[in-house]
Amino acid sequence: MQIHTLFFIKILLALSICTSFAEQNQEPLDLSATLLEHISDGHEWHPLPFLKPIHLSPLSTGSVQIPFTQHILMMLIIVVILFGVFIPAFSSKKILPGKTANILEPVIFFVRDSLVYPAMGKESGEKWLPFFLTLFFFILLSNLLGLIPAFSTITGNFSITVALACIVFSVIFFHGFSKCGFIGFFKNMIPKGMPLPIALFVFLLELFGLLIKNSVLAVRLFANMMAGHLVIGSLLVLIFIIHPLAVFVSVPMAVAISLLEVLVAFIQAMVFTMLSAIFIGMASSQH
Amino acid sequence: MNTLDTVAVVEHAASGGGLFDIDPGLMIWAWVVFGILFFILSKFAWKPMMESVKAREKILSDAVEHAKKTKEELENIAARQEQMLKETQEHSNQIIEQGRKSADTAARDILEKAQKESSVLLERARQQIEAEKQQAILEIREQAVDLVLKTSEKLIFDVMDKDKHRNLVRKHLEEL
Repeated sequence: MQIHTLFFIKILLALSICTSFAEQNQEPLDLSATLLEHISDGHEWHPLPFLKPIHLSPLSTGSVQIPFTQHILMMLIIVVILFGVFIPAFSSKKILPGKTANILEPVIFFVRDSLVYPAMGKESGEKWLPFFLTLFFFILLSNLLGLIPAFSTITGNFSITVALACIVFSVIFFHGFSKCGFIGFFKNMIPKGMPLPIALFVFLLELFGLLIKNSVLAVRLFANMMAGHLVIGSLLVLIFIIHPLAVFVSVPMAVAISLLEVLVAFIQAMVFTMLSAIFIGMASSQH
Repeated sequence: MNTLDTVAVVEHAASGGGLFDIDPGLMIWAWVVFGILFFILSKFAWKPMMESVKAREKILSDAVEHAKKTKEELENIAARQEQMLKETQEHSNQIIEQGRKSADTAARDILEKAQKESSVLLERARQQIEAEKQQAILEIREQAVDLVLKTSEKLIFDVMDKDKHRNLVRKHLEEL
């Protein structure tokens, strides 16, 4: 992404915040509400600052109501993009990669050789590689999509990151059970030759630790993505608090933070995938 | 956004909720979406990708193996060539040496033979000369005898008859 594109994006963002102020009919500015509204899920989608927001209504089939919000729409967009990019790139079993595959393969090899294989070993790693690749690219695209105006960051939504952490949590158990057996998996948690009360305590501690690890996984991704957007939003809101001329300070700073956010988007996707691989790998390793 | 909504959001944010609220509907959506992504991408993207990567890696490793083998073979051939070159050189040197030796001996033989032949020829010539000399001497003697005979015949023709005379002279000559 070039710098001037980023400038353009920031100006759009500033305008969108501006319009959201305008919607408030010159009420005294409530900054935290504005900022929160910007990153939280809702039934309205603002594609562009001057367009009317699109209202997303829940899909109701008979008596069951299926919720449909902005972040769900984002997820569907991500699915479409991922399918549109990866399936044409890789579905033909060519020996030599095509153009898109050529760009994506180094990233895939990075995930495989630097994140998954060191944590899980080659055998299990190869088996679970599709899972980690899906996880990595889903998170990466979610993070990156949030940097483009009109789209929002679904990884900045705690429900989504918790859902992802739950998936990892269940994979830990699934992989552990399939590798060591139901009893063997839990037996692995307790060091050998321990008196029963201590063993019980350690077992509970391990189980609790597993839970904490996964919660932290969810919180880390959520906090990182949300924080970046809050910082950018805060910088832009400064324009309205201090003086319109603050735009000359706020916008460059917001651009700088956005650049940082691009980096953070990659790093967080990497960290989430790496830690998941480590947790899943650890679950099946014999102590 | 109307005022009531704003107030609600603010209250929400102030109470520490909002951000950490968990929406079960959204979570279920996330699971469904992730599941679909996982299955479809596994089937249509990751699996063929891994297969083609594996095939490529195999081709690459085969090529490397092949290159290694070829290199080894080439080295062998080069070594053999060098060996052969050395052997050939040695062989040719030997041949040259041998040729020189045989030429030397042949030359010596020829020289010796020539010398021998020449000495034989010389000897023969000498013998011939000797024989000729003897012959010549004999002839000269005969002619001298004839001469003496002729002269003495003329001298003493009257005194003796010819045969008596010759016998006498021959007798004298043999006594000589």
